[in-house]
Amino acid sequence: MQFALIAHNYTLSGYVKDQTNGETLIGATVFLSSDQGTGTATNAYGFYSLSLPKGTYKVTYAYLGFKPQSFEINLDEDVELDVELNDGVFMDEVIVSAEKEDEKKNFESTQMGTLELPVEEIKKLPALMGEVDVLKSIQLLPGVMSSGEGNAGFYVRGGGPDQNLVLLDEALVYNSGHLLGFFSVFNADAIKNTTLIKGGMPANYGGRLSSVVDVQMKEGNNKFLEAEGGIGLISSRFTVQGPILKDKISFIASARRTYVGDLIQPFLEGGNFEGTNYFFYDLNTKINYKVNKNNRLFLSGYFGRDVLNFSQPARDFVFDLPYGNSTLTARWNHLFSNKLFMNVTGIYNDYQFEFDGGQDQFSFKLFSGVRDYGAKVDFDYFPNPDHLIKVGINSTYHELVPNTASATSGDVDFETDQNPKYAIENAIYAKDEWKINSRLSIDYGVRFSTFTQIGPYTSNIDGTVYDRWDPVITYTGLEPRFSGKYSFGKSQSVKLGVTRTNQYIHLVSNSSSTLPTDVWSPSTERVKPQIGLQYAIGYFKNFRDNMYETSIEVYYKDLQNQLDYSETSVNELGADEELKFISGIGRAYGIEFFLKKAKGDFNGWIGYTLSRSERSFNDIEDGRWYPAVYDRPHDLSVVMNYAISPKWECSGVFIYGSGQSYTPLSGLFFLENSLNFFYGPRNSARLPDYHRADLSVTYTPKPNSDKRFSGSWSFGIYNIYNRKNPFFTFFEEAPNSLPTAPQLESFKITIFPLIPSITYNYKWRQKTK
Amino acid sequence: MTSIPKAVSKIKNLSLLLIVVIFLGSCQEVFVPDYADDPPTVVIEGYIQAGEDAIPPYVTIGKTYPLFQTGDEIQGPELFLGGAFVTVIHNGQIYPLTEICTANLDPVLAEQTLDLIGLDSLFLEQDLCFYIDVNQSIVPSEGESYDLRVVFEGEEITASTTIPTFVPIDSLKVLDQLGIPNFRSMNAFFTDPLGPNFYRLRVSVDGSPFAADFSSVTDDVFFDGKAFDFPVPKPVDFTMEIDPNTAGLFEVSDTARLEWQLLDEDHFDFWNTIEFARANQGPFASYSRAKSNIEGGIGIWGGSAIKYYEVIIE
Repeated sequence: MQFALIAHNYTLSGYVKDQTNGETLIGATVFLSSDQGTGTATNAYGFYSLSLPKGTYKVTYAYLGFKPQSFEINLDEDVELDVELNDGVFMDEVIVSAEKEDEKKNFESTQMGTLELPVEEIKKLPALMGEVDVLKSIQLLPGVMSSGEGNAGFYVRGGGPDQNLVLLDEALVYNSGHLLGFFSVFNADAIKNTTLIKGGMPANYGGRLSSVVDVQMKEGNNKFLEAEGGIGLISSRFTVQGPILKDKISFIASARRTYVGDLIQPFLEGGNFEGTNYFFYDLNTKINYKVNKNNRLFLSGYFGRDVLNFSQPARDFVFDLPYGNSTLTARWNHLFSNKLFMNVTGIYNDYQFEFDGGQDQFSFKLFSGVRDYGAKVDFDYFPNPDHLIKVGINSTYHELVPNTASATSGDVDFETDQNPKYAIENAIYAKDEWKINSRLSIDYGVRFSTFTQIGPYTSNIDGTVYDRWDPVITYTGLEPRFSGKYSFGKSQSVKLGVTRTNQYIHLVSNSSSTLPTDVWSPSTERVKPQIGLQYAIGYFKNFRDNMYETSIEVYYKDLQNQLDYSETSVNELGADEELKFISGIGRAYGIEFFLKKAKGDFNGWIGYTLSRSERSFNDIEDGRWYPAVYDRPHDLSVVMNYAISPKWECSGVFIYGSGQSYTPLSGLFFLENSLNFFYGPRNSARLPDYHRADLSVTYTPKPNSDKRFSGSWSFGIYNIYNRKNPFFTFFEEAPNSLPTAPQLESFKITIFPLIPSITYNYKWRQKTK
Repeated sequence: MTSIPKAVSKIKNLSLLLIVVIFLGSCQEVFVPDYADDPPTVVIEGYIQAGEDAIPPYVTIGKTYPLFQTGDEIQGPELFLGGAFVTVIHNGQIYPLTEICTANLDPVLAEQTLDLIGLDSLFLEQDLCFYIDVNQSIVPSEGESYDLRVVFEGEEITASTTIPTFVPIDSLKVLDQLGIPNFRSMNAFFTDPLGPNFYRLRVSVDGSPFAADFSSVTDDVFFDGKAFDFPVPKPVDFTMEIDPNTAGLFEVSDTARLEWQLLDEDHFDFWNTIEFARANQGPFASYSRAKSNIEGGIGIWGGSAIKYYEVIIE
């Protein structure tokens, strides 16, 4: 505080990078060695700015897992200093204490419910069929639950899967799953950083109620050429990165493709389904150009597809089912001064689902999708060490295509009368991270959002016809955000947060999990925006010299304008989606416990959540509160890593959670010679508890090799004790039941038994370390 | 880089092993789900049909019954119950339906009655009661509405339905299947009039019960006002092993009987929801409740314009 009162400050600014490859480091801390409370952190582009009165300071740069560096800096003028940190072992006492500063984030940071998962940590965890998965790793954190067996979809603090803002280099990813969600679209080799915000969502994020998953791609090694990859049981991946112009332009390209479908082709030859195949692939690319010290350009893109080709030659029946995302992000970083950082972003993102087939003279096609064009400008202003001010504005044009079916029978064409819907979403925000004193800090801000549905559109209420760009309806939302932290004692703090969020685009699913066929729908005259208000309070404490991090967080969420399909909905193609929805309210509350051992050869965490998530719709049982499909009262995750030796490392995961709620049958009725289901109260029953343990072992034959080429083997076992968790259940007429007294039998299907996996990972560098 | 080809070769074999592991390891087991223990609800099934092949209006009354039964002897569900007072109301005129119970019928007549409404002859062991317009005092007509009133166990149950205008199938064609001798496909040519229409098609082969795969009903949102061919598949018996190359095809010498109905929207909604619920028990499916037009119970009081078409497959 004292610094703010002094008339003239000088500014130390620059970028913090990884020495090995030149990648900027996000969230690296920069602070005075003499006063660790005075400092800052790098932003999403690795930039920092620290304004201090004239003087000589010992400034330390630290980032978890990297060797901190300290510099004596004579600040009698503005200083620009780019610092490169090196990962590795370090002995220096000062440096060790510097690392501690980074380890204090658990209780020192103002932000609540924010967790970062380094990719290297994710890669150690056991994975289904050896496929390293960012989103499944997030599910191991308290408050985050899997949407189903083996599924990368997730629920955060009782919210639906559509309430998660999943960003890849600032572009929204509408469908984050491959193969019906069993694998996420994120190729870990191309990812630098993943941040989950489940609590106090800062004002610079918006448009979703529950969480933010902010995934940032690597920028590309700007020092030397590097290639890495992996050969797994179901897929292989390959990444190449390097400088085009050293320290000026670098690139990264990363690809992944599955081949299980290709491997079984010989077995399909001559059979009923010859030519049938399934695969998915991803391509991540990024190029960045350091124009000069004040300007940088980034261009990054993602393209991924799932493709199912079905063929039944004898019946001349074929169909193709491709779906996937494309994103493109262009960014310009500009330094107006050493205190004012600007980022201008242009974003294109697209999700398409297609089903295209035919038999004899009949052909059919089903298409749905969503496409956004967006632009945003964000400013980071570092006036002094006590404030970090962020302001920004953004605008997105949405084009949402509902399920549109067409078919041909001979010369006759058929089409559903479904037109795309259009909307423009804008937001402006301002926030300030304010260190009031060494104990108290707050992060406060406000976001004002608007959403305008525009034509062409024909009103479902009064039949009014709107032409292109004509406004149909506008919604606005004032979204205050607040997080506060008060630290006391040596290493503990209390934090609280209040967050109001509006969501204007919705994905309503008639299934227990999201599917690629699910359609995103905008807010319209009939469909009001979802509104969420979350209160959270937490106690955070580190023990044993930051060896152990603990936290207890309690939250309550009030949810308005929640959407669901009516109970008699049958997914008819012809009807406008918005006419199928019903609207209600929701509430979610819970307590989360987290214990993490952050250091040592043996490390890991235990997370436990006790929670409820409920909904009430006037059109469902007269508004009775019932458990949402996202309601999992108990959720326990145990994650352990053990570095046995430099060559051998092992990891284990244990998950235990309440079973999914479902609507039970209350009886049967006989009609037209068939048994029919008569359902009881909604979601009043629950599947058996879910639990599973996984194990992985990584073997690196030459861990300290100086050779350009290095490799490692990763062995894994998914579901080590072969727990038969139900994937789904179904009824069948009992084989011996009489037509006059028909009876049902019920079965459960388990799809993932004990599954071993093996992956070979390799890396080649143009230069050794 | 020499170790990569070796790794590829090793992993290729293990990939195939993985497929085997998953296929063998994924399994189906008997599972006893939780269920809601609700009191029985009255189930009404009644039809009123117009057309030269129409059967007289009739109604049956049953109750929902428990999902699982305990005890030594399984009790049959409460179906085809007697003791109700059933009337059809048309243009203010009240037509009582006559209660007929199989126990009071000549066995041949009883069997014919069951056959008429498609019930298994095993039901003859029970006393089944129907409410039928035996005197054919009601003359169901296209474009007319008919209300149903049932008084059963002291409760009143009501419903209303309309018989829509009939739209015929223009023609039926039996087509050879290249490379599959003795099997034929069937196409229907049909002209849909402009405006909303709701159809139901079921097929019986050699006297089997009328059936349809997955869904027997459709609206015309997709083909309003169009003339076109559409395939008429032979219903698949899912209790038998299915040959994907001949599923849905008729065999030479089959006698196919098509039941073609025009429904009103409520009648369509009922079958649409009930068949969706039957077919959607898959891995990601949620539940769907039947959209019934019965007030005070569940089931259907369904009006339709009906015609049967018979084709001998050659």
